[in-house]
Amino acid sequence: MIRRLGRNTLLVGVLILLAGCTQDPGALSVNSPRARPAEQGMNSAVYMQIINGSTADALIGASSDAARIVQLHRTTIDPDGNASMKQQERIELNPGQTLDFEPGGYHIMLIDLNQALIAGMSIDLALVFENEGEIHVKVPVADN
Amino acid sequence: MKYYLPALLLLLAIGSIAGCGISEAPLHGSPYQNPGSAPDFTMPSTDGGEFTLSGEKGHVIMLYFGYTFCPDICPATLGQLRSVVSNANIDPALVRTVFVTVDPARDSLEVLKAYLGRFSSDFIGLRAEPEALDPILAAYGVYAAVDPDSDPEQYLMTHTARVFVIDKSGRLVTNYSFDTSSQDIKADLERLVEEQQ
Repeated sequence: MIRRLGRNTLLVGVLILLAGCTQDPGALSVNSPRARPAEQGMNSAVYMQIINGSTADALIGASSDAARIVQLHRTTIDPDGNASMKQQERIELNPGQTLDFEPGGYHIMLIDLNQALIAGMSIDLALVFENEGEIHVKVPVADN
Repeated sequence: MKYYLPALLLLLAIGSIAGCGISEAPLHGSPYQNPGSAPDFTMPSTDGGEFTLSGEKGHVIMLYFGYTFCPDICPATLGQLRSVVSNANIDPALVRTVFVTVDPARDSLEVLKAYLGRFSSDFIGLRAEPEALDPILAAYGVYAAVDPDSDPEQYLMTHTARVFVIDKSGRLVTNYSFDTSSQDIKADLERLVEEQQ
């Protein structure tokens, strides 16, 4: 009886451990957000790192009171050194993917700033993900 | 006889090492093979007067063509240049950082001044009307065009994202693509500022 109880306890323990292993190792996270300083009426960019959770997702929009228009953008540079920037309708995120938003690549473009962005202050940014929903991020304005 | 080949290789190795000390390493980026005078121009400046490139001999010039609506590549480049100039072991007064707008329709001198002021009050902004600007862009091999797919109200531009470097004698010596490291630019700048004209 005692032996059977011990075996059952062990089995339950193993099942609990296995259940733990199949849980989402981590939800989507947004790290190191920062915005460029710029004058009122001009444009800025927000950079950050997104680490996706265990399911495929996509960034499909962004909004902020800091600017009249907020868009997802990507800069690409061709072999001749010509840079072009394109608005992105969606940015795909594979399971577990780490995606850096950095100069010369992906960024959130803030068009026609409602106020000057000065280093040291911060702005509110809402990122809209297809699965994760809306994530609100406090974005500090970094030095240029 | 069998010792001749290793001895010859040794001599060649010594010769090549000695040779490195004599001929200077090339500049970073894309150095020009036979640097000639940088294409000259005169344009209205954010300083209030006119800026003539050939009138700046004695200074090292870092010349960039961009536009203020750009929130990414252009400010990233200007931020890098400001940081390099302030960290380099040089007299910053011997360097001119010059930003020529490729978007004169939106970039007035006032807009340019406000934009550049975010980086350094020493940065010089230049603006010319398209008919005067286009031959200058062509002379430097700079491409600039409105992206036809972008919103006409908020149009974006494709443009050459290179920093052109002009030495103290007025020669166009190299240009840097966007991915050139600050360390490489700093090394070149220190060398070019030190150079005798």
